[in-house]
Amino acid sequence: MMDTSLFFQAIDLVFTPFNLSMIVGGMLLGVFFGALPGISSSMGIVLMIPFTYYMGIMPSVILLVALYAGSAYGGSITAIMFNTPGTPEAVATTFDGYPMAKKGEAGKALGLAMTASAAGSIFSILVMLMLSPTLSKIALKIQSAEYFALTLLGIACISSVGSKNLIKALITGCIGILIAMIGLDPMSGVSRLTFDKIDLLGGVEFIPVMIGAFAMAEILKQVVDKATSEGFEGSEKISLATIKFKEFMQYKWTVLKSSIIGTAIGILPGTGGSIASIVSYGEAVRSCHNKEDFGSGKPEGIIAPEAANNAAAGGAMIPTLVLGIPGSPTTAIILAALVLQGLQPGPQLMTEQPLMLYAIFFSMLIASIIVFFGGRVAVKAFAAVLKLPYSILASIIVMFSIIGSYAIGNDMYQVWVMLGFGIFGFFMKQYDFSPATLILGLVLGKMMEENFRRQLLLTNGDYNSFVTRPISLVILLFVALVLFYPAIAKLFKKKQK
Amino acid sequence: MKKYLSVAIVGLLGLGLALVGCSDKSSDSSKADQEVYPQRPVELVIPFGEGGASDIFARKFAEMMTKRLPQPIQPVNKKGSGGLKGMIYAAQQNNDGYTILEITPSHVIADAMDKSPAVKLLRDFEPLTRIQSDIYILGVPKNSKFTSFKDLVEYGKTNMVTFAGISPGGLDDMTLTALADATGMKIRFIPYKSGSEVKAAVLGGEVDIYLDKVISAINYIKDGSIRPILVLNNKRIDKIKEFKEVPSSVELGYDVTIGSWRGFVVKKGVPQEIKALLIKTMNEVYNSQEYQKFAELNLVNIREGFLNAESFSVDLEKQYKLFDGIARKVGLK
Repeated sequence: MMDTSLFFQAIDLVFTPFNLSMIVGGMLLGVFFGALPGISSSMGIVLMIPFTYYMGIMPSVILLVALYAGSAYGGSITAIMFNTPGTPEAVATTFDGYPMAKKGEAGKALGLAMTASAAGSIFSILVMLMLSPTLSKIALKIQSAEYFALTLLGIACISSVGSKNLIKALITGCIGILIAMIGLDPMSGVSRLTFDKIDLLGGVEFIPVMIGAFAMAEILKQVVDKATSEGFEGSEKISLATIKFKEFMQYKWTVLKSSIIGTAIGILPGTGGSIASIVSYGEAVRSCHNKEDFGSGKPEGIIAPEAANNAAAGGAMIPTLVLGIPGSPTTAIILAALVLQGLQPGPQLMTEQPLMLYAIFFSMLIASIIVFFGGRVAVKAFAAVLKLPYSILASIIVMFSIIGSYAIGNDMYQVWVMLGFGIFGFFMKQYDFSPATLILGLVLGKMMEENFRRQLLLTNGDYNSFVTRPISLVILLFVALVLFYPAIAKLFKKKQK
Repeated sequence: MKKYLSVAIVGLLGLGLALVGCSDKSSDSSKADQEVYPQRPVELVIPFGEGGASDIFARKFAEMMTKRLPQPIQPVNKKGSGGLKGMIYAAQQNNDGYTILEITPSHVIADAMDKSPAVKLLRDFEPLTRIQSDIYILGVPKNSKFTSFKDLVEYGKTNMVTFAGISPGGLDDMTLTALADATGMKIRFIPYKSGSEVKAAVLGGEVDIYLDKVISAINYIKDGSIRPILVLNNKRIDKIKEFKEVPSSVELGYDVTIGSWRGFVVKKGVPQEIKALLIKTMNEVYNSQEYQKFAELNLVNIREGFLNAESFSVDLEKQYKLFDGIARKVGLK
């Protein structure tokens, strides 16, 4: 599969000072865009496209993929520090990341996230280097029925998130799904729950909901609690110490498992990191003996979602490059950018420009390796931000929340949505409902409904088709396992006694 | 200390706001009308998100127009509700020529389906030029049982055939409905969220037939994974060798040549000389070597896309009647 002479040629091509500086620059920009809630990595790439006109093909492609690789890390930074995921993929990182930061171990939390991210990413890129064409062929076997089963798996994992209060988690999950129903019906195009408002016709975007329910709600809560007028639990307590490589190694199995889950889900066109991170988090909870520790700053709770969502970001590049079918919205933009550069991603890239393909993989790999080694040091700078007094920090977050929401559609409507969900999220927090399940319901609900109904449309309403397709059946069995595992485990324990 | 800092920050923010306010006022003043247009950047509203075909085209076109005007043409994405939000935004701006709107068939369909009673493309806007016209093709996966469009029509008369496309009630849906009506086939439209999901579904064999633009399908056709069976045009595509043997719809006796197109409009009431300047600039860009190269790269040079204001206006009316007719016939309206 791998042609060694091409391999070395690609290394030769990438390792020029200019190209390396593009990798580092692109990665840093990506981290920055990824960290800002609302300013998505796709927007970052669109902003960079005009600059690439003036560079050669190779440097511009390198810049864009490094930016993409970097943006996948960024989302976790704000998730950990401010309980505000920079991207929907990082929602699951807030579960344990934020509590750990609250305990004063922001440096450790960021270090874990960075290292796990880089490891996940490196894993998926290695898979890409070796198995791209084969895997993308298999990915095509995953169709509507399987996608439905996968989203169901994601939703079933909500139960592990809300292990403390299952009923409340399910209520917010359902509200999320209900919000997902607003807009045009995905199958018939009829408008639903829009109340003749043109803004609602396009549905509710999850980014402003996310910024509102996480960032704004958190600030409102902090202000109301008044506990933080002197900084983040007293700024002296913030530990900038990150983790040593050796410490990290004890989590190697969690990293590996999450990377596999992430890569596998990421390859499928039309899924993306959100499902990957929640499924991986759910699996980490399931396989752990001390389930109660999750949600209060357990290292595995940070590692699992971060390794998975970064592996998914890498995985999403596989169908993009090999089939010309982007695996996520951001890779769709990368695809467009590559086309603008005169490249034709798709089946022919492999045969006509294999060198380009390897060069792309290498740039992503180098970007990830830099994060792996440099990331743990760099997080100190981020963690130090928490030493700022909360009054200043909060103002900055509010400012970015407004800019981020506005930037989605360049209009005020999204800002109102964000503020509305800020207030809603505040009350959710007051009464111990989880905003994370709301977002997951919203993100997964759309996909679940669409694929469920499409499968029925394709099969003339045959409900059996969900279980007669082998892959779909296997995933559905996993769903059953996730849902009933606690009950079954209890049953077994009783019998043993 | 902390107090001073916050006062300073508030002061700075206030100053910033004041400055923004001032600049808005000065640019809105009526003075600008008497001087030569354009006095300030002209906004080009792209009613879709970043990265799509409409976005890439409009950005490139704006860049080339900027080179020929004293002020930049500034592309702004106003996405949402299938292009409606951008159109409504453009309708809310002054008719002073500082807002141009990019339009596609989605906007005509929105008119025909009466999606936004408050703002109507044909009532509230005036066409400048149409620039591009894309051709739709039908294809089947390489291992499909259908070898020609004739086979498909025969089979489709008694059996249900599934077609993949995007946006129910949108252009793909309309095109297929028109085709079903013309051929007597039983078509089931299976909508997907994006073009890439459509491709995945077709390559994976989830649906029978693939409907897409030439540029989106070409790679799979060259690669052999998709076999083209029909070109929705009045003649064959001779410029691309893979299409030479593929019949056109008109040649087979079905008058369905619906495809996507992109053009520019301004709000009604923009002064004549401003419109003339914009049209002249667009003409120049269209005829430039740089644009033609771009068009060739994106395969939008197969069917003549350019229409001047008058013919574009006539064409829009025609398209409205067409979509209105289809919508009524199948009960979408």
